Amino acid sequence: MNVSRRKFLGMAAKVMVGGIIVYGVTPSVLEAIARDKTPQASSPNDGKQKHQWVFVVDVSKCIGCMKCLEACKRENLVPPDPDSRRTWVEEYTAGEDGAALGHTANWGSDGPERTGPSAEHQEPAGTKGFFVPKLCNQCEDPPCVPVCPVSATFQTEDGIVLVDAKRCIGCKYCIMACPYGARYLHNGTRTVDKCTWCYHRITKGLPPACVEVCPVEARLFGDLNDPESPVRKLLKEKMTQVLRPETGTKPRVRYLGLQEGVR
Amino acid sequence: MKHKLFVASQKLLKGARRFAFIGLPALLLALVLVPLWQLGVRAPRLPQLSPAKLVYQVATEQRIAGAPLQYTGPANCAECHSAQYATWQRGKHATVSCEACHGAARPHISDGASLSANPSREACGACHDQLDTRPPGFRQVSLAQHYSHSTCTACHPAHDPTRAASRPTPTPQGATTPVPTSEPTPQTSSTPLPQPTPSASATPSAPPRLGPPIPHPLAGDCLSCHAPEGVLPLSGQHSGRTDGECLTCHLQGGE
Repeated sequence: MNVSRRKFLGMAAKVMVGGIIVYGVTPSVLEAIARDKTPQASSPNDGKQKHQWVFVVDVSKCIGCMKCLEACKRENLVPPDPDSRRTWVEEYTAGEDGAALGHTANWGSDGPERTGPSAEHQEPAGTKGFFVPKLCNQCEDPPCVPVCPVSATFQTEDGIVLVDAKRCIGCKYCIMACPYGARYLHNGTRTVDKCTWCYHRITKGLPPACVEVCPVEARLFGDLNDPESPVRKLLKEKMTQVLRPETGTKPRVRYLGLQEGVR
Repeated sequence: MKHKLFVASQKLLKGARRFAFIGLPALLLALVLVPLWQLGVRAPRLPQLSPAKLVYQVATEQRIAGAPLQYTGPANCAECHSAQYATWQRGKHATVSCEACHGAARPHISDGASLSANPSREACGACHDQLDTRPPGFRQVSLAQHYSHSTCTACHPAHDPTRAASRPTPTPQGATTPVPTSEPTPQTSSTPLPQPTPSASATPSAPPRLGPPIPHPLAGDCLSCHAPEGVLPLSGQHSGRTDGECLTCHLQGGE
């Protein structure tokens, strides 16, 4: 009795120590293998990545036609309901002093049929406003990534934040963490989904679907590592802003002509 | 009494020995391993500390990157539809990708699915219906007022919208009445033209456009005044017109 208990405790201690060692060492080994598989591995901030993708939104050009939403839903198999969206367009109405007064969040996310922002709001005639297209900012310091309890969301070497739908448990912590409201719960898979800047397109050298269909070039996409990229030239010539810079997330979507009051 | 104390101390000693040989090393190990664990194992989950990826993340990246495309881009359309492509590239809609109106081309290319654009007024209105929020310089009309009886493409061919629907060789159908060069915007028309035939000077080879609005009430018998022998005869370009045709290109408007 005494001996078997001692034996048991000894074995338990060995198993515990062994477990700690295995659990401690294995991820490091896996990590090393992952690094070998991706030779361009480097820090996202040291400027040595294969791509330095950047998304530019020109607020002054957007006409609110919602072709981008339509294309995004089609390209990325996003459910048709209004709450499921990877990108959306907000309508801001400007006051007499030109300051943004308010906006209809998520306007048009139900597709190209205009349910009518003007109709809903009964704006006085002559009130001017503007549209602000929004999507995932692919932040350099994404607050949504460290909160994931199962590491289902992560940043690629090129800085794109992806969600592994096979690992996601749908706890929605990341939805809470994102200051831009860029994530949603896919009502079919019950996992979190978000804009990837059409990762399957940009890795093949194609623009994201929303950029492809934008009729007025309000959405632009490019690679800063490409010396011929028009976006690179544009960012050299014009001042751009980001949304909520105070959050310190270092967003990668650059806005042209963003007015004060747009959040 | 003493005997009991001896037994108790023996038990205590045994416990202490067991702690020294099993518990203490385990505790020390934990004290060393936990900080290491914090640094070495959990750090990869915090990308701002280390960008290292785990193996499954590489696989996830490859899986997402391998998703099928739906939108293929205009270059693919040009391979078969070169004539439409050329017209489109010349026109004002050159910045509007084929798939913006026609939809994703993948099903069309792989299965030959139909890819005709929606010809409704609402489809054009998605971009061009009058809306205060739209940029002021962008061309907008009120769908409710602007030639509401007609389809947009009757006058504005979608691939080259500022060229009127009629080709330089007009068909006998009246739908393509050739007229002047100024783009009419009836709901904002600041220059209602007093004479009904402002197009007389237009060269016959110039691409015809939508007609100016009619600045007077309509009686339906246009040719009673505008016949070649009437008060205000139509221009030579309009010869052979009948009463019903005028409204195809001219609406009542202006004053």
